[in-house]
Amino acid sequence: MNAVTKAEKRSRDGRPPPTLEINNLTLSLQGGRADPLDLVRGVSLEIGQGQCLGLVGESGAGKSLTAKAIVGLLPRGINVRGGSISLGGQVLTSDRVNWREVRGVLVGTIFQDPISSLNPVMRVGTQVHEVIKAHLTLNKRDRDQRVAELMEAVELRGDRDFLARYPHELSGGQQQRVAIAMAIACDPLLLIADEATTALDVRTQARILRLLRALVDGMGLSMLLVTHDVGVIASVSDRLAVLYSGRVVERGRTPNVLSQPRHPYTRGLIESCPLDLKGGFRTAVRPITGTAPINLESTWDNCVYAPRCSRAAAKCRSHSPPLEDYGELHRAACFYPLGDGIPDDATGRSDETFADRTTSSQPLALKTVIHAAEHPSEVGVESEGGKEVILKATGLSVAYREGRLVSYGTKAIPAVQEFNIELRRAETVAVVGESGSGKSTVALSLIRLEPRNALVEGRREILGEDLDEMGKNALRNIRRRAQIVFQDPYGSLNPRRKVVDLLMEGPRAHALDTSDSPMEQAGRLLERVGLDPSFADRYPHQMSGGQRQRVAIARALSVEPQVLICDEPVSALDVSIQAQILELLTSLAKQEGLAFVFITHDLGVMNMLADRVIVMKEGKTVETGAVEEVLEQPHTQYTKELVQASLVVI
Amino acid sequence: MSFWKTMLSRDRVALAAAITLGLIAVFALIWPFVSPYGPREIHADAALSGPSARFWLGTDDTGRDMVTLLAHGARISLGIAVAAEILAVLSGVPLAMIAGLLGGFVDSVIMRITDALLGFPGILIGLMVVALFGASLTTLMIAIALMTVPYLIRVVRNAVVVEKERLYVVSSTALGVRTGTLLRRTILPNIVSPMIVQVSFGLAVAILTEASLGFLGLSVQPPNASWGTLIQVGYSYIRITPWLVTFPGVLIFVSVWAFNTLGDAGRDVLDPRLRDTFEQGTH
Repeated sequence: MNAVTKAEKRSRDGRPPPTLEINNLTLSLQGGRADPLDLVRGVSLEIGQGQCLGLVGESGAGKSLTAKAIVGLLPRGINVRGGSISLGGQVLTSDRVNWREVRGVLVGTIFQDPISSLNPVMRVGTQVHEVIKAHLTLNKRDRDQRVAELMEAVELRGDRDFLARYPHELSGGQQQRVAIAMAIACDPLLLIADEATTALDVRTQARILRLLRALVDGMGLSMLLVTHDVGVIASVSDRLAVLYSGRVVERGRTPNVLSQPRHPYTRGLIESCPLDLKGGFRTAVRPITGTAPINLESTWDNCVYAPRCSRAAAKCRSHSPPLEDYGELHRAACFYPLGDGIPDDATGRSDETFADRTTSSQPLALKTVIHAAEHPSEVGVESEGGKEVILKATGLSVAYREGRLVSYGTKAIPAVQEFNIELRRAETVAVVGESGSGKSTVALSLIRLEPRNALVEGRREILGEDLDEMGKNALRNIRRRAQIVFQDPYGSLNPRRKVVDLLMEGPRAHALDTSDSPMEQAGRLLERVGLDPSFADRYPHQMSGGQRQRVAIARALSVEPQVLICDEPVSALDVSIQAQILELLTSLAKQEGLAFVFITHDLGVMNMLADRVIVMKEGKTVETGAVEEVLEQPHTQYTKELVQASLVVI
Repeated sequence: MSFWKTMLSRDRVALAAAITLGLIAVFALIWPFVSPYGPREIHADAALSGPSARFWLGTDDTGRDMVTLLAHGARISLGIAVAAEILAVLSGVPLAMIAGLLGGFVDSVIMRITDALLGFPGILIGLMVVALFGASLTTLMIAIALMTVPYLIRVVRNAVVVEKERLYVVSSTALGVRTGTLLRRTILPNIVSPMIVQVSFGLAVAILTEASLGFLGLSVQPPNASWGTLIQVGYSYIRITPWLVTFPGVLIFVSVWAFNTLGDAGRDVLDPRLRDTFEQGTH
């Protein structure tokens, strides 16, 4: 570690000092323990003026903690145990820091959820004024002038009418722009964007990222971009640092690191991402096996990534790898880095074999070709005849009734209009759209699960039978064939019941064959979704998000459906876990001949799984067709924008 | 029940409240049997006497033993409160479940009636019912139930609405689980705890209401005694023998405090922000 810091100092000679310099930072959870638990250890970062550093990692990696340490907002119980942070020459890890100045003036911060960072009862203009008033001594006219400048900088209308609006009267993108305006109001040295675009729709996200980049270039602002999304990092940052389990495992210039990752985790992150960073969509992802460590104490005397690494050898489990230099400040902490000519399994030369060698390495381009060939890409726009139609909807329209008591039902707000779908065996159709496009309403109403206040028109069928013309019991029986998997694996499993009960609920309700014990049946279902049968005995809170989602899928499979309707099934999960679930769904489609309706906002995910796609906007279908065609030659402006916003090119 | 265990083990004040209520209940049940005096036994020689070795808490204006009167009063006061709450649960919970499950028009009608009931001051409802049907244990019970039932309906109805829209309920419906099974296995267990909390508050309100009506002479009639009527009697002599109003007053205060404390503690346990720790603690 020491040698590295020295080398770093030398290499910086002759360059202007960085705006932000984090040196060997260690953040620990004290919490009444004898041994403080290090959540972030030995992190060193620097950001020069007019530069954007991307800090990427999965949840729990310590990226937000690092950002919070800069502005002195660490959660109670977590302290800076070692190392230093300095900003524009001022040391922020000393005892005497004027945090008010740091937070408002030197550092501007924007968060994931713009609506919660704005005061809902204050006009947006007033809020921007307040920030300026709090930190700068300007008279009213100069403040007005400043607000106008800021609005122009964030590309918002700065007129009186706009400034008089309340936050809820703005779109998500506009809210985030106002938040950005407030963050840069006092010309900060550093702008921290903590997952600032994660909650936004793809098109909005792309525009906000463009704005952030423009601010960095135009104002000479330094930016720390904290995100889990490699695509975001790729499109905006100059340099990046990959954080895993509280450590920097790799850093360097963004194009260098992303095109030639040295650390296996970095490569795993890149390959888990449904977007090809070279400017396209992948047809398959390669997930990282396993999950990030929960108990950090055991992982400091070894490589933190060793338990999940396909290249790990004995040395990785006994020593912690230092950051090695690969030129141009590209550093990675790995004993057996990629690109040194050693294929993945060649580290098997060492005395220990590793648990999982299924993810052997192939060059990226080659891999894509292989998967593309396996993928049944010959499916046309119209599904082929001959195969049985499993799910069908014609002219499906859904509206939500509003009003109470006297006015009940007099007003109906349309959510979906004239939706058509025809799904055959082993086919996957994606329904793509941004939030508010009505795609989740489609998911529920396809199998007559819409809320009671919904007004449904049109015809919907499972296996050729009209759902609206059958009694309760017939509906129960036919609905068995079409199951649904939700986005949120925390909400879709009853926290009070064990996995075995959750899995047996369906079979019990339909009095399916119960010659085996519930445990045996549950065990078989769990194995089908890649979980150990012992999970049957757990409660939902004893599992990770990915494991819960597997259980939710197993639960859907328990009644032998022919089609699974998946409503954003991977959006709530970390990238590497997301890839695992996508792989599971792909294999279910291929091996078991299940049909899928896949509802997603992510074109990358869509491209991997779907044969055909239905693009929705504001409840209406704007485009349909085979996935390849829609991606390559979108017919409508909307689809064109969606595709462009989704693509990242480094 | 895990709900009570969590609550009482975490909250010492709640534990104290529960013990206090237990003691009052034991006193009400047992004292009449061990007391040397009957509730109507008059000791004219010792009327309005202060606490002494013979009459621990003194006597009332007719010379009846105060301890014995308090025990019999507790039977009536607590009895009316409990009976009123049982009535409220039996009538309110089914209505609340119908409103919550069906939603729409039915929900609107039930909830607007509830709102209307909430619009009346509680004591006014009590006075109206008693004025219409005369003072008796039954009318008192109905009046008190009518006062507390709207709160109960609101709480339970909201719990049902939240629960039936949970994703796991929707996914169970998709799996083909029957509505009855869902109601029994999933929805009921989730509304029991908020219901108990509301009943606890309801008991406090019931005791207070009975005392108020008793003080106005609209509860049980002499020579029967409830805590409220004891205060009414004692009030005439408040300058001479202040303990006559003090002892029933203390009992009313303590039991209302205890029920409110239990309700508060229960609500803390059910607070969504604490919910995770609660659930993990119970498995």
